Amino acid sequence: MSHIIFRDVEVTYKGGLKALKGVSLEVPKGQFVVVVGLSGAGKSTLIRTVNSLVVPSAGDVSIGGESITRARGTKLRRMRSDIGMIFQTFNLVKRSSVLRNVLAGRLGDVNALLGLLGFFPRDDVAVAHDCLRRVGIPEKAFVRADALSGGQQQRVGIARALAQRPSVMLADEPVASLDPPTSHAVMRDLRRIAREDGMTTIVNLHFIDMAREYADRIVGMRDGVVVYDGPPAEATDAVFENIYGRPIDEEQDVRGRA
Amino acid sequence: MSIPPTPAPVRRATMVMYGIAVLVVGMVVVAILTMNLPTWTRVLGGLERNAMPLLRGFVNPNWGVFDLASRAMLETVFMAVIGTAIGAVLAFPMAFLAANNLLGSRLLAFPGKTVLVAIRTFPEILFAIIFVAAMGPGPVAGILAMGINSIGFLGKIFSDVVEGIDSGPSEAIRAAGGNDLHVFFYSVVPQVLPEFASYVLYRFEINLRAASILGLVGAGGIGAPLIQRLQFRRWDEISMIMIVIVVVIIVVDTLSSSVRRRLV
Repeated sequence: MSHIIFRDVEVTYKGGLKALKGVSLEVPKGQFVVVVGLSGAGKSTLIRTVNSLVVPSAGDVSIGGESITRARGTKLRRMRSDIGMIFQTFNLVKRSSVLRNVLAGRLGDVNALLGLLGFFPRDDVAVAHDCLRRVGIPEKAFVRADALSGGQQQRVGIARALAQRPSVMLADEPVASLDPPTSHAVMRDLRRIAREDGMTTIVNLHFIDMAREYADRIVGMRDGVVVYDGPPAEATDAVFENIYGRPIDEEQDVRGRA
Repeated sequence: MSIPPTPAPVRRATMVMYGIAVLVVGMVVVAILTMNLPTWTRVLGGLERNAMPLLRGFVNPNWGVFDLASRAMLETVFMAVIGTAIGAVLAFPMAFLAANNLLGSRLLAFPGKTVLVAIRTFPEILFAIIFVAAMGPGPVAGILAMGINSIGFLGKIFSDVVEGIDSGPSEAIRAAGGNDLHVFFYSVVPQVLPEFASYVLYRFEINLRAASILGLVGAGGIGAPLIQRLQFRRWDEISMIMIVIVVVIIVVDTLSSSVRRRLV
């Protein structure tokens, strides 16, 4: 059975913008899916329906057979704690230490007030340090988040998501704020960790080359509908021209070569 | 080469600017002409009679009142500390109740904002007079006056800080399964706390100045010995008291701003 199932998902935002117009997808456990498409194609909306940060106006998203779209309150939060998320702008608390940011991923188990005062259970602190080791920056634990480079900040973002020990990982344009070499380094880390933990992963990307390089499966979106769904090997330039709705040439910025 | 004609809206804006400048200058001239200002001879005569003893007193500060001034200044500092603490503690919840983004709508934040504006309408000297009348003279009246005034000031600034936070970390906490309390303690509070602390110190600097004059209305602190001597024109003793005030305020300001630079 598929791990994540989108069934006829539609999202209409306040003001009438239709961001998703009936998307159906099935993602098997452990698959590394890259969603490509122009800005405004509905990639971010799609990824946010998986953890119900955006609630579909019609249709349903289920994870491991349980509908998260219909989940509310405690049940919704419990389901979310099994889904890690990485953001384009990292979304770290910049004035807090790296360790504290990573510990935010453990909040399902930590008393909020004690956490604020800096008291975390030893096990959670150990998990946080372990996650920092896995993303390659164990020495940054006590540095303030805003003192790190962009690539390091995104690694903290990944470590925070890992600290949840999730079975699903979502990444919304995780490398769009990074330079090309750093982007590749972060994508490599993300895929390696996803493989090691067998996490089902959905990543939004702008760049064609990166999608081809890292994806098990590419989903192309345009105007709120899926226009391509298949392996990277079959995602030819013609396919991408259809996704982007314009010819691809070397001048344009959709290749993202390192 | 030719210069294109200036567009009409730009010309109009320039005219309005000139108009405002003429108006301001005109108001100053009218004010000077209509007010009953003393003549130069009166000013010079007054200087002869009053300024010389005043100057003589000021250059010879009377060390006899140094002990008294120091003790009174210490009381003043304590008043400012307690007054600021009361203000900060009560402003903390008020700030969140007056923040649009946290409450989710302008309408919900309106009552909180209104309370804060109402408090800031009155200067603390007015609160001090009211509290002295209500509970008798002494530092408690001054502390309460400063405390209430600080709620208005800090509450307003705190809520501005809260409204300026990045919503990204809050989204991250929510995505990880956090509830509203988690978002508050993991995202909102860590983002605002350093700035809150900085503004509390800044308000302490302001309160210390305020506390130095609250004694003028009987609300405790160094203002009381100051006004007694002002009535008898004991300029040498006034000089000593003012030196103590100035030195303490400079020291506190310097320390406070160096801490504040490190906070944010």
